[in-house]
Amino acid sequence: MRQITWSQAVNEAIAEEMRRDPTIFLMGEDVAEAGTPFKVTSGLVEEFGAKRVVDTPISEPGFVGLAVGAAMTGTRPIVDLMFGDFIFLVMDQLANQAAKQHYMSGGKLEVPMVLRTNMGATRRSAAQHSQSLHALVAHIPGLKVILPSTPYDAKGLLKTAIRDNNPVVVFEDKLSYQMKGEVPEDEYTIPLGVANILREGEDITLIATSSMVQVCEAAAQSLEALGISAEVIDVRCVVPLDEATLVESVKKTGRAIVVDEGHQSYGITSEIVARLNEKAFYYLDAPLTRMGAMDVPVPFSPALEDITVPDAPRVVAQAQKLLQRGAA
Amino acid sequence: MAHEVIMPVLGMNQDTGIIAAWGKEAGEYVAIGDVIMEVETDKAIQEIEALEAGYLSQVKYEAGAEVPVGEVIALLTEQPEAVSDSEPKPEPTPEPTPEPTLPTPETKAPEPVASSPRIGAKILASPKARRLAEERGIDLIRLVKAGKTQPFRAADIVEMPADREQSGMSSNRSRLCARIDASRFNTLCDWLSGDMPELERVTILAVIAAGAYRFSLEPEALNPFIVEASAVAGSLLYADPDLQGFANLRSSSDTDHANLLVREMIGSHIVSVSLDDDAPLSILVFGNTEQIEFELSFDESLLSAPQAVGLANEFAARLLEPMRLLL
Repeated sequence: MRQITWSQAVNEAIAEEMRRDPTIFLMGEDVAEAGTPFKVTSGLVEEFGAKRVVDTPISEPGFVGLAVGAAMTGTRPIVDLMFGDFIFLVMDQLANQAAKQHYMSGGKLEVPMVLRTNMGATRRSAAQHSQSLHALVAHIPGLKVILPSTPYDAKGLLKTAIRDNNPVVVFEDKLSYQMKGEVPEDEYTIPLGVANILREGEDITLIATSSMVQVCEAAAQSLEALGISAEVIDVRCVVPLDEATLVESVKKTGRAIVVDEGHQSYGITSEIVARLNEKAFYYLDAPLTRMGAMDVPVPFSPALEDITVPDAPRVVAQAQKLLQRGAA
Repeated sequence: MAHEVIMPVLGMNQDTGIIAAWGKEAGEYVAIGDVIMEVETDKAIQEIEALEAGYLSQVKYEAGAEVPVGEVIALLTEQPEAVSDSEPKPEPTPEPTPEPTLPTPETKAPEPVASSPRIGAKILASPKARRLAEERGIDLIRLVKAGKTQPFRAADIVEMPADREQSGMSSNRSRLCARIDASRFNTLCDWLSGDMPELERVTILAVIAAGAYRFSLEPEALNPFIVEASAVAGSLLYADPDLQGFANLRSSSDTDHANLLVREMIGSHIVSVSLDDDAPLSILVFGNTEQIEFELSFDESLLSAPQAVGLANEFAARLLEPMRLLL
């Protein structure tokens, strides 16, 4: 199968959907001529023109609010938010408007918009451009949150998100855009809320999101060399969450580490651990554990930045600890 | 006359029992069936019911004491505390015993709430390990004794043999007790031993039990039905004893796996038993020349509760009217 980069996969997803549905348009800072800082949308303005690929002023609340209104009145905007850290600027538009219209109108209004943004540290971008804030969005009922880990998933999940009739927020790891992966030329979509078991194992389940999936796959390989069989599950979508797949796996292995790049406290890992505890308690042979980013602003110092994010050696060490006598 | 209250044998490997709590106070009247005390073994706490009535007298041990099995703990007398030392006592008073109360030193310090003493601190085990232990009838105390590192994990449980190997107190073993008048059965025994002096009482019970089993449960595939007849003198195995007739009864030696164990203890001091049997089904018969008591003990996987009740009723009916059934 052909190998393409994440950027190309996302670009294809947007282009294919825009060809299919003329009500879809793309909007954001530097999406047209510049093709975004990550060159994800390059070439789209040439094909679809400046009316459907719209460069906006540097005013996130303005253009996201505009997108919510446009979505409520018959179009399907895809909004590009250059950095995930800017989500704080658009929280009113997102949480108070987009997430609530369908509920508050008694189901009469729909907000079929997609907000594409990014996450992830270790790009030496310092504390205001390195955050992983998907947990904040996942906390708000009415917003779906997807976290792809491969070019294949990025394309398939984005196409489904674009077709969804209510707001979906996509967080892509900003180090993944040059990642290559197999993506078929034929059209496909991936349903939201279906986790992906990447590797089957018996002793421990490593549950991961976004780039932490690669961290856990590497950890599982190291663990195999140590005689420990780890199951790796890519959550893919935190809202809706494929709870059943996670619970089934943990019932089988009796142990789990949930790895996510958001801050550990009050985060995605805590939520997943809590749900597993409720649904699989009597199958647990060790405490469920979380591994998130350290509860500090992401440091600019590369040496310090790297240790704030979970990595494979630390996942391996934690897994060994749980298998020995299960200290939390 | 005075009746002795002894420390009962509640498990095969049990040498002593702890009086967890007294159900009655010294001098209080005890009716048959009243809980006279609670006895703690390393497996469980069991309520011990009085088999005789009387005033609780000469209480030799306080709650918390560890007492060898068979030891006389107190007497049940016709008059409250009227009994003096002149009352006949077959058991000599245990003089060398240092103190009337014998709390074991390390782990079993008697707690202020005597009714719910716990051994040691809380045992740490994973939820999965606890669930497996419960499913398999394994007491976590055994893992503590085996020196396993806590918290226990599922693998620690899987490595342990089930408690069934050690004690009959596992959770999926059920019991059913009955008490009946012994006179007709005594008549039968007298009559049979007239012709066959070597015929043991336990063998007669085994034949009756086998017949009751076949009649009440109508088993389709049991060939042959092996009954082990066990008494103080020893035990013998019989294949289909109820189909052979007393005169032709032959013990069978080429088989070792009994379907039913009949253990006879009539006339002994034993008043309650919970022995560890290989047999999936056992009937323990004790009592005296006036009253026979028996305890039907069965694997829940083998018999349902209604089936067990049916079998116990049939066995009781046959003991009450043995002659009619023989005819």
